[in-house]
Amino acid sequence: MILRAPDLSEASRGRALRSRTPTRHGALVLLGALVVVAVIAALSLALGSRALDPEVVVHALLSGSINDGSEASAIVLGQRLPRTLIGLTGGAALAVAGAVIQGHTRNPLADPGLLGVTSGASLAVVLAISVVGITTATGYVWFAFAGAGLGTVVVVTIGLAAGRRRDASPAALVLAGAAVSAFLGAVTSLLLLIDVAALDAYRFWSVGSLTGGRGVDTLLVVAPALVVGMVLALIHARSLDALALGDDAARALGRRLLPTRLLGLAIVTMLVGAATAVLGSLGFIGLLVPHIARWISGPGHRLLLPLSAVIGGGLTVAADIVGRLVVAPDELPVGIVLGTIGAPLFVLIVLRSRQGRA
Amino acid sequence: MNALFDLDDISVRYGDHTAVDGVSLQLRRDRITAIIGPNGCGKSTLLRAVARLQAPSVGRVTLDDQDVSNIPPRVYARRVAVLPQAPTAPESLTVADLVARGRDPHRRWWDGWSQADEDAVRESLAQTGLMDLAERPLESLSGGQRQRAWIALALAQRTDALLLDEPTTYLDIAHQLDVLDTVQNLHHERGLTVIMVLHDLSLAARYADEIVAIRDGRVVAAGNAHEVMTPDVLREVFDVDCRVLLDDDTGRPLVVPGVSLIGRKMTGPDRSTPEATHVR
Amino acid sequence: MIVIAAVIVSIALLAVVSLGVGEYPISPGRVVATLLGGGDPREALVVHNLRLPRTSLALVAGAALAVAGAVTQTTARNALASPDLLGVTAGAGAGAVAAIVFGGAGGEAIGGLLSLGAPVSALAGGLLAAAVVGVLLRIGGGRGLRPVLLGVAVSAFFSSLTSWMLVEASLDDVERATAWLTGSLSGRGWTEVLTVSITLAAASALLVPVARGLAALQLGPDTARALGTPIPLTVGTLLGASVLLTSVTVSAVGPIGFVALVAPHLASLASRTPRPPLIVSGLFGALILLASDLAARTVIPSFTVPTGAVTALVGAPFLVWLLVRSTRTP
Repeated sequence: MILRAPDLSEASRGRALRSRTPTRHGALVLLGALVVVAVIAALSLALGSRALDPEVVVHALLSGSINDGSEASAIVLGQRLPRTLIGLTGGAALAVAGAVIQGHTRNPLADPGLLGVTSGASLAVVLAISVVGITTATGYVWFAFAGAGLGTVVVVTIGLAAGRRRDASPAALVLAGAAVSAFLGAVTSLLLLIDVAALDAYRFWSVGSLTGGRGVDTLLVVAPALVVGMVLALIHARSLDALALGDDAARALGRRLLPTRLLGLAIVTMLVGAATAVLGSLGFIGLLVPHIARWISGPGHRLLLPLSAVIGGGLTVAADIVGRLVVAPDELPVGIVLGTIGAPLFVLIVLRSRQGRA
Repeated sequence: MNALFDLDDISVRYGDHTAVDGVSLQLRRDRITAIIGPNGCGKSTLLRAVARLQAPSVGRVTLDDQDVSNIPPRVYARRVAVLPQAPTAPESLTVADLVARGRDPHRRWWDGWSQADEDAVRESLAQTGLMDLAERPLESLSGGQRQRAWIALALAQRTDALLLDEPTTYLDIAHQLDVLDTVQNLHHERGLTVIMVLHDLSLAARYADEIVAIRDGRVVAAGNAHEVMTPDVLREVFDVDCRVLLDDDTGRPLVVPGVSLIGRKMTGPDRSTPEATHVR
Repeated sequence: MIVIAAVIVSIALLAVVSLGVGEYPISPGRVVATLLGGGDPREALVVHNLRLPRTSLALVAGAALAVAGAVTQTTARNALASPDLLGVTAGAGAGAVAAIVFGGAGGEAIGGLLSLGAPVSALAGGLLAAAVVGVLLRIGGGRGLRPVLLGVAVSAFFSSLTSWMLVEASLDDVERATAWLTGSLSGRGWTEVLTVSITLAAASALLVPVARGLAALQLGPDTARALGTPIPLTVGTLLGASVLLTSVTVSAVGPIGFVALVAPHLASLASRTPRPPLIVSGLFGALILLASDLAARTVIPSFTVPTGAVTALVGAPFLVWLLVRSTRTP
């Protein structure tokens, strides 16, 4: 029998243990990410079907008015600045929502887009516009929340029911999402038959785009939801860390599961609903960005969530730039660019993850 | 009062299936208690009921005379630590990060990381011999080391009691001994009350002061190792004819399985009464 | 045997009803009379020229999709391994849209355009998608739900490609492609029926020699190999047949999902076998698609809902049910 006397002298000698408080390392990482994203945003203002010189961009920004007569101002302030802002905030929201869903379901393959949550939100908005006749953002944004919340509940319930047994796989959640998406797609096409005018609205909402007339007005309307959602997510970070150890371990550490789940649901609903209302149904951001962030910062959510927000904004804007350049003078909506790049990356994640074993 | 936990006529039912059937039991403090029984007998369910992970359908569990369902989860987590079966953790989590989670019951979301937290983590790592491995990712550790890390997490909670659900089931024999030695040392040094579900009869006999034998959701026998590890009890609980020898080194019973009795007629005490051979 | 007879009878009944339904309703009795050669010339016109092609297409397309699904599920020993979930449908869709966008002059009717270019292009797309999934599975292993996960990714990829092409296409092409992409039996003619039927016959011919290999594969690849089954050839032929059936059918009727998933399950339930029997699956597929098409035409008065929407509305909950109960499937 091996008797291990506690080496308390080691403990009191203060052997090097990484501090558990938010570290300078973490702050540096965030700062670095912010710098990169700032560069991407600047590029977004300058690049497009017409490339503008930096001085022209700066001048337009400083002049502050679209109607100062210069074409550059019209482009920069009227088009590129709004879409950059929308991309940054919407992408950040989707990335954080993805991280939260992944944390709650302990499933690295979870994504609001793949799971059909964004489809639910966008369908709800199309319903609001075409069936109920609401045209203002303040009106239909509530439908977006309802759609996002309902979609999340349905998919996660199915996924959890499928995963109840010990050897079941988290991939069931993705399939549940595929089923829900297919179902919603069918409902949508039925809807389109009834109201052909909704086809235009549907086209935007179903693909995910930073333009399409949503504009900064909608962004201002949903801004409170975005802010509240983000703040709540940061508060929620430690619960997510506990959940990562399993339901039993989380409860053994004193968490109440039901309030924790409800808070997660509220956060996802707010963030996804707001993001969808602004940029339509966008997939892969919620899936990929948490993985990238985790690869940089590790699994601790107090750094993961802010980092995901920054990277999510940057990735969305970057994809938008690509969409503007690749088929100029036409544009590819962000959703298509992300689908084309995102799918192979998703495959990579599936191949790498040990949970893809079943 | 010597009993830390008092189980008063506990039953746990899932739909038609009764996992735990009218168990009344006292689990003594300052002891290592092992719960043994065949697969599906309800031993894990019983432990989960004590751990407050499973609400009993009937009856109540008390901790120091207080009904556990009335104790808020965070308060309970400061008094009882639980190591669940086959625990999972995110891939790149380091040992120290895992152990740090054990401080959650002592911190609200606005609390920063205090010196008390730091000391608790250090001490837990030292007591489980993991100081050198503190910054390594969990997945790079052996099975036994990983279990020790989870035990360190439980230690960081600074509780009086530690509940372990099959802590050795997936480990090689060397790692099994490693884990159980650690648990035993902690019991001696910190006076931890340990209650664990074990699969291996000889290990249970060797490490536990008290043993509870469960069959079909009922207690067949409870007492110290010599009282419970008898051929009669083992026959009734496990459907096996065994010989029980004495291990000279440890002074504890050593179980040598003989003939399987599956499918043959059972002889033995009447099993319709729940506490057939309640030996004290 | 009883099952087969029952299904055939159901199909016949449903077909007769289906031929009688529409803007110009014809009673079942008169439908039969018309089919047998007699009857009112106007009714004969409606039945033979308008409705019979559609009904026939529903039958053969349903059968083709179902057989493809049964083959894949049995070969992969995976209840969820259906071509539409594995990305073949999306790949075939991308191929067909490519044919529409890059190949056709504007203004032609869909029927004429699809007679040659689209099926081949769809087949190429379907093969490509299947090949991609196959390669990925060899890299990572194909247990459990992983093939379908990869299929989701590959589907997403090809869907994006399809959307990309549509962004670049002319307005006419976009309209036609979008209409086609919803998966419907409207506006198709005897050409499509012929194409799918020939494919069904060809695939059946392909499957006959490997039928025993298929049975052996159900015991697992190791056992099958021990029994002397040439695994690569057998699996290749089986999956090739499945992709062929799916792609050509998709090129004819658009991406109609869930038939390939649902029909084999119903077939194995009805026949009380653990794995879906191929012929019975085909019959069930025909029945399902026929019923869905009937529903699509009748559920909203004076509207024809896309058949793909009906199959998705019914099939998606079915997939969910499968997911929730099937965690013990390999």
